[in-house]
Amino acid sequence: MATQVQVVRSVLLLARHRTGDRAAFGELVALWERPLLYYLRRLLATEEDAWDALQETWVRAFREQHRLRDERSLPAWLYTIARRVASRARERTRPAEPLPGDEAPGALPASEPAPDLSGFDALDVHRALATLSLAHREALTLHFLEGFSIAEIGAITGAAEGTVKSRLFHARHALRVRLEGEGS
Amino acid sequence: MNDMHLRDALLAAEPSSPELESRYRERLRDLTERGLTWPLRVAHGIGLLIALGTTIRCVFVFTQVAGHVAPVALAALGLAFVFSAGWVVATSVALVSGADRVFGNSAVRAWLIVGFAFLLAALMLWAGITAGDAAQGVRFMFFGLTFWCATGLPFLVFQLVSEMQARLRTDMLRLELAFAERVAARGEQS
Repeated sequence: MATQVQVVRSVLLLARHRTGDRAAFGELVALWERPLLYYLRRLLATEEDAWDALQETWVRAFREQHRLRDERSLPAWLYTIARRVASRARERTRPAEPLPGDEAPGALPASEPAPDLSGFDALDVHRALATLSLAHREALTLHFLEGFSIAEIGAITGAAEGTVKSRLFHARHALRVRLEGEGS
Repeated sequence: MNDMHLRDALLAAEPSSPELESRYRERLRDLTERGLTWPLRVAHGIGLLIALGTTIRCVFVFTQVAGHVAPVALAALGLAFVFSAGWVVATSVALVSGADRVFGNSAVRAWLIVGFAFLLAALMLWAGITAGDAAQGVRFMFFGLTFWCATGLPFLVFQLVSEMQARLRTDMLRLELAFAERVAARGEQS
């Protein structure tokens, strides 16, 4: 999950916003817009689409804030809205390639540990992410950016926990292969 | 590389177009102005009708009683007129522009109502005390007290309680944030 500092700061900003503090919503936007844009950029074809989707995400978050029951889940809630907006945008621009839903999870090797990605350069990781499949890219982006749990990623993407677990494992594996290929 | 560093490095690696970003910021600026939803429009519409009715009623009463009542009662009537006419203007502006600038802030709204109710009740009490006719004086005082108890007092209590709750909550969250920042700073040092 997102760090405790980010979560508490977000809850505080939301509380200030709800008491009529106009600056608080702007501060909340500033806190989350970069990671949300990064996520949307991984889901949508162009930067323009990502900025438009980000704007739409804030419009919806602003309008639907009363639906947020647990304020501490604000980061995951924002990502859920962003994904829904991105999904609609993809339906318009790329109807043949929708965002991945819930499919049967791929087999997980029982004994093999999750591939270690530490030690690689972040810029290389950033570039290699672009070469992964959409489902793998999305799961890893959510994991890298906010450290969301399997359950949280499942809730954001609408996939079962088994599917998320499998995607994360295979995505890490594919990313490591790409990074090692770049290094050699 | 730890997770926060990876996060920051990934975010820094993402290029962004200044033109697209400034267009996004421009559009976002409008968002912080509270847009009127349909339930809010209906609520404002009802408020507008009540305020309009009160304004007309004030003018009507003034034409009937001017010269027969004490100046303080006329002042109360004038205050009610100014308040309800101001309400008509403010809600009309909000409905036409589609954004709630003044009444969007519940604290501003509540304190306006409390202030108005207090002044009106005080003027009515004063009018009651200084009235030459005892029966009319009692009626004025009764009206002032009833108005205050029915309008000003509930808003005042509600506003004080909700402000206290909000302040307590934000103070607790600030404390929690300071603690979380301290723990995070310690984690980075170790």
